Amino acid sequence: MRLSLQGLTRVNALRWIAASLVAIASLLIGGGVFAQDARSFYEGKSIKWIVPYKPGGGYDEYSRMLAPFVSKYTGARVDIVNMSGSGGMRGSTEIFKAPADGLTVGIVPGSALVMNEIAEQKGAAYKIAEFTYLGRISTEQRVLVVGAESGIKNFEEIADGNKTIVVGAGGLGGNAYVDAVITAHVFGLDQKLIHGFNNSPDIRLALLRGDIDAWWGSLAEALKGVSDKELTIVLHAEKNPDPELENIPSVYDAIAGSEDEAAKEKVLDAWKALSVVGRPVVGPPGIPEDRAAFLQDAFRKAMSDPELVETAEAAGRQISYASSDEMIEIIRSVIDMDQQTQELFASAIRGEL
Amino acid sequence: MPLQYGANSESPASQLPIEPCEEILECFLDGKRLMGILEGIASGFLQTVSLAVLPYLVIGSVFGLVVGVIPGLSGHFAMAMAVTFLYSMEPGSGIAFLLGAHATVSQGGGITAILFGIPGAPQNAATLLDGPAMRDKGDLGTALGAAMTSCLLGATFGAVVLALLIPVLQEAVLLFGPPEIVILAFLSLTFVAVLGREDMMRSLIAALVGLLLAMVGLDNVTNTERFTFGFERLADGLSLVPVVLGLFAVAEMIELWSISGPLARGQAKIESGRQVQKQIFNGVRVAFRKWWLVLRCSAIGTLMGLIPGLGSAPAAFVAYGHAKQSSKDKESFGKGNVEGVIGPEAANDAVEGGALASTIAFGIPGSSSMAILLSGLFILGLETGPQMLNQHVDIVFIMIFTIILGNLIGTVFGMFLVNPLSRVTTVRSSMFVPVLIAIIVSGAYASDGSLLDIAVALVFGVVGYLMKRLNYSRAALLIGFVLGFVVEKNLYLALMLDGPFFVAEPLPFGLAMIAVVFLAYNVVSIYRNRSRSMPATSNDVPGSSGRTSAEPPRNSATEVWFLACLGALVLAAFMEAFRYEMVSSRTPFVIMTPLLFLMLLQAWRIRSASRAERAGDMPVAGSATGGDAGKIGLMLFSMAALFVLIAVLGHFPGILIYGFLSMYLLAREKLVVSAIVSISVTAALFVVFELAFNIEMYDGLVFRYLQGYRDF
Repeated sequence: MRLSLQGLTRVNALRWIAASLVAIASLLIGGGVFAQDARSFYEGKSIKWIVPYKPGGGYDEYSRMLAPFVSKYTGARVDIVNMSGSGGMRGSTEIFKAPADGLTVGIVPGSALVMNEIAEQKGAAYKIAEFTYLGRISTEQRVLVVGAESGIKNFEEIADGNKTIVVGAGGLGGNAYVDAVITAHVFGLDQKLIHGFNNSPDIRLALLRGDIDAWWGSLAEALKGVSDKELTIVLHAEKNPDPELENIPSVYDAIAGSEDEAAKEKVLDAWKALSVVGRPVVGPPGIPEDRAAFLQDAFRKAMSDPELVETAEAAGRQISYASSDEMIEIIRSVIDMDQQTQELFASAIRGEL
Repeated sequence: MPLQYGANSESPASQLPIEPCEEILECFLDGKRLMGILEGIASGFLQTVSLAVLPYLVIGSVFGLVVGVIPGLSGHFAMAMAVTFLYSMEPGSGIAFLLGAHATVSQGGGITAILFGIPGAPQNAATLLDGPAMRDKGDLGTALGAAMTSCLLGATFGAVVLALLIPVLQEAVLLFGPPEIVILAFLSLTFVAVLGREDMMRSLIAALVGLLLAMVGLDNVTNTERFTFGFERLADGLSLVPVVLGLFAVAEMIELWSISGPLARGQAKIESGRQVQKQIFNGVRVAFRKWWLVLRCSAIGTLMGLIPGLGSAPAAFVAYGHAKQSSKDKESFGKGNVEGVIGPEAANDAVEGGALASTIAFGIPGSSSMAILLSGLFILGLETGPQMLNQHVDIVFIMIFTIILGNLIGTVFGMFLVNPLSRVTTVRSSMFVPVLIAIIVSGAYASDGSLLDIAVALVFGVVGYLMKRLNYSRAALLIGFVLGFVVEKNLYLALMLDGPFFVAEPLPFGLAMIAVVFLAYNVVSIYRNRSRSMPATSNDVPGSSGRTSAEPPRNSATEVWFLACLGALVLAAFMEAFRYEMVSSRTPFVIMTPLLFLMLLQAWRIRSASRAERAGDMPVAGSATGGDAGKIGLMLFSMAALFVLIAVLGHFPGILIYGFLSMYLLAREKLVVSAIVSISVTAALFVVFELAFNIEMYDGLVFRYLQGYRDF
């Protein structure tokens, strides 16, 4: 009974009964053919795709954009379920705990999950390395932006230390907060970090009003303000930058030639690795191998579908696929950072740096 | 001719480019820019009423109306649903569909509020103060007509203001930063003084409790989980939807159950359809006759819409407070004054125009609904911000006309909905209550997919019922709850950014002066009323122990217990707060210190008042309106059982068993009737939530275990 129940999609009493009837009938007729191949397993089923945030954000948009294509290559219906809470941790934990039948997957905030695990935050009831990875949708490219009101033109004006710059961030230990603390630590910046903003829209308004001078944000969000000449990107973290970032120094340029360059680079590498985790698509640990392989293959095909690439481009959504093997490698490299760096990050997340 | 824009399309030749300009005056005088806007208006209007767009607008508006009618589902949900259909739509149709669905939600919610006394959406909570009272007086149609017309007028006002602001939209949005928001939120808080003027002590206690409830959850400045008492899910704070549903809807159901009889009390006979229709038109006329009130309340709504993070629920309460304050007949508020319906309904729809401002000006969403709108526009290949203002101003006008026309469509369809829905109010409570409780818990769960929200709604139902019985203002609690977080957060940021003298800056200073004058005016007028010894109203309590109490003594024991339980909780919170860092604990302390003091004072007042009564040989028997204690006990037990059933067996089996048992066993309905009603209601909810809206309801622990979840 347990086996056939695992194949069920969700609890709705009617379907539940219907499916049990079908299962019993198929047992009687077919003599218990459970060794279906993965493709026929997914045919006509529905996959629950958990988005750990409310509708109307990047994670939700990516998921809704991708869902029809995943559906196309798996033959299953994809139901998007928004499950917000605890900064994405609630939904991510729900994926981790879900039955490993390959019918529950979801998109997760990779770097936040890693950071929470490193800092041993409460509520991190998952093991980042144990998820079944289908691959990655995109990376987070982090950039330092300044508002037009700040009067700052480039990173040199920030680095020369003539003026304390006011940097805004969301919650303690959030992405923008950790970015600001780590980079200030590496560059020895004179900054006043004001955190506690509700969300990035609030921070962007503060930048436009001139309440704060600078903010570490994602490239996608920053670019919108750049095209309207309200924001200027002054620093990025890429070793091979996109054309949009041409002529803008990277964090590596900023430390070039300084003392302890190697030590600083090590910290920056570890920091960069966090954002490379990006937005992975995962399922719970222990999905049967054939189904996992089938899903990974379908995800790869969906991500390279020309129609999806076109839609993403039109919506201004950067995509950067990584395979499940690459993701496992990325996760391993992040988790295996040395003790000293790990402590540095943990203290940054806890607000002790 | 409908124009189509892709993300990469050039601006059409017919559209004049509009130069961004600095000087406000210059903007209005700049002929080229003005021409561009005028052409935008014409083009936007023609597109909105074109055959390619109008049908989507109608579908969207009706959808929004229906979502509004269902308790628990709000504008945020309507938009999230609508977004999924955008992929195959043209920009114009997509915007009309999406925004139309959002624009009519408060209208639908207003219908539910007036008919059933439960808020269809959080922003309709203020409508409950006078709407159901009008229904009970037999003015159902008038209330509905006035509410829907006020919605339409308010929405139109907000949209027109948005249109007028276009030349200076960016400057207008940037006026409001943390310092200004603190003061505005504080000003809104002072409206508690107006709302609760008849019973200031209890209202202040309620408002402070509301403020304290807003502190529950993660403080992201220090990452402290405040007042969660070990419940991890409380870290996100209490959500508005279940709190509103509990305080107003579940509380209403408990009361209804305890007194039996149909929902529409005092309504001698069921009005004929034609009579209701006649009343509706009368209501429409009333709303137009009170145009000056509509205008002022709309202005309040639009202004509060401009402030990011405030939302429309406080706007509606502030508008209600304003309507009451400016009315000649203050005493009839709360007892079915049509102005108490017009004010909040005008404001909660006028919010829309203001809320769109920052989204259009910079592509910065001020609320979760606006964030969804922004994703929707992305999907349609449109980008808001200066680019849209300069090159696609007609798109902005499609939005503006969508709000106006959408509300018009909502008003017309809403009037058709009223008659069939009003039949339901005559159903007896033994059937009505279990059915509505089932709908309410479904809405509470669906808003965020959280089992905790069902528990929150039920617990706040009990709290709301007690507050209503003991005359504590639920409106005051809700204002405190909605604004508490906004005040704390922005005060912190304002202090960090501008130091302690942020109040001295011109705009905050001006606003602060208004707040002070307003508060002073109210204190003086309350004092004057008291010394004139106002005739006792039902909301009234003794001003001093010397006066005879209007309060039935049976309540005093209940109230002392209520205060004792509340006091114990607040004390526990007080002790807990010592463990937090200073930044996180100072606001709670500022709230809790006067709260504890006021509660002690109130308890002392009740004691001395009831002693005086006993000395005067007052009858101690329960009054006729008081509910049957045994029935209330059963109701509370059944609510707890409902939660357990849902948690263990899943949502639909839970409400099926609950509905059947409470009708058959508790209310002694016939077996067949109970079975038919509970099965058909469960089936209907299943169709609406699971099939039509595709919301996954809770599976239940048993099923999750069988499915192979690791833990629960």
